[in-house]
Amino acid sequence: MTNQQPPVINLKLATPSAFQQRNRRERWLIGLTVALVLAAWVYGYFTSSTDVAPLVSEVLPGATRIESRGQLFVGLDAAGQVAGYAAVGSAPGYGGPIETLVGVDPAGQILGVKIVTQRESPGFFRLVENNNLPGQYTGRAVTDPLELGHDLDAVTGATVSAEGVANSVTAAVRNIAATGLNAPLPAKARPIQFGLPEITLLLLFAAGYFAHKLRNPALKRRVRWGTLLTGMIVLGFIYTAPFTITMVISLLSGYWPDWHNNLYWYLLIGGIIFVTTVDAKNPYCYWFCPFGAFQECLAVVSGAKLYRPRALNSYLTWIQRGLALAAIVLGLVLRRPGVAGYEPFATLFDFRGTTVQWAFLAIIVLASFAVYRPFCNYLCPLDAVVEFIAAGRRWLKEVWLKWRQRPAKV
Amino acid sequence: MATAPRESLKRNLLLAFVLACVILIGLIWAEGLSEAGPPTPGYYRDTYHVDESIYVTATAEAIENELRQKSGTPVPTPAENHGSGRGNH
Repeated sequence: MTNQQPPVINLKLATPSAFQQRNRRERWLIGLTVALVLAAWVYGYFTSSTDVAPLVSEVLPGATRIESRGQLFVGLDAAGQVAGYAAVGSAPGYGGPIETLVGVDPAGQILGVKIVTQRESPGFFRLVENNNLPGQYTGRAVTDPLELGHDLDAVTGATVSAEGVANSVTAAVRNIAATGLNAPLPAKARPIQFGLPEITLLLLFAAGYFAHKLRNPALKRRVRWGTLLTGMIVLGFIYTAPFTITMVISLLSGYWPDWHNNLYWYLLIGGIIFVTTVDAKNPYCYWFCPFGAFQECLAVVSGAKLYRPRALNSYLTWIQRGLALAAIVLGLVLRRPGVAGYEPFATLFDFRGTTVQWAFLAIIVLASFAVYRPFCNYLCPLDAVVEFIAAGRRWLKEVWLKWRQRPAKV
Repeated sequence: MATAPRESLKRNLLLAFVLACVILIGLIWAEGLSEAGPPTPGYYRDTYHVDESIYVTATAEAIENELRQKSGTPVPTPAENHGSGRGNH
């Protein structure tokens, strides 16, 4: 035995350990992922422009000739008189900026509104279109309030998208009033929206942060069930505001919503990134993910347990990571974060979806009776995103420590 | 001994579940992409007015004739070409 030991020890010293090899591979993959995401971002950025000029005649019906003056289009009739003005307005929606083209006659009456670009989830935006929100503007004066729920019908189930359209139209109207009609509209107050969803979210973050330090397992379990059920009911069924891959893609695309009325978006994304980076803990999935809580409730009913066979572990991990990367690349290339999301959250919490989306939810619900949190463990893209942030954190920390421990130059 | 086939069945069921979900995710993306369409919105194409006083004049025969005149190489018409395959025998 003693004769055989030295070569083994030498071999171990000569070759890097499995841990080192894994670390090296992980860093290569992090670098490759960042490069791929950057390439998708650059491609999407340079190919996403839309020419609005061909659409101007549709919002200025009386114009026979269109002239461009700065950011304003001026429509002239056959006699050379001004038939109206048109401008593009932009405002953040759920998946990114929504751009509308608005036509106004010289007397200040809106002639037409067209949506030029939108990056919303198709299901959400279908509600806006079915409500004929753009059509509601026709015939109104630029001095009207033009507010959802006031002089325009609110869109139930797609509040953020409808607000995006309304704010975008308002931006265009204000531009036309100031530069075309020479009658600037008075500035509107923009109150910060801070209500029950924001308060609940902050409380859930705090509860998760302190509860994971609890030593009493029974108390910890009780607190966790409290946060899970609160997340499922308040953030899920009442507000339909879970963390989604669409939010991540919007963040990467630079499509950041107006913080005055989307403080929740910033608190949720900021909170997850902050806690994952600083504390190396996932504050969301385990503590108050609404869809995770729903699956966990089903597991309690059936007694389902976690199932992750060792032989398939690596494949399952890579499928989940591949889905996350594909969603991010798709969203960035098309500059349409809303299209890339595939989570069944809106289908469950808002009872809204296509046949395929309902079939997807049904399979997951059935599987939840047999396996513990199947969507979270095999398919959720957010798990891979949080894991990526944690891996990046480990790498940066190691680089920082090596830099600090470097020998001082004499 | 009975646990091995049972484990194998569980594993296969899990793989079938994941595969079905991946296919459904692909379909969800395809649905979204088909609704998203190109950057130019769909209504622009829908409202494009066709001028019915204009009709197509470029038929296949006219194009062939034009090409023949441009290249200077006589291209046999279908009538001239009739039975040309026999010359190879």
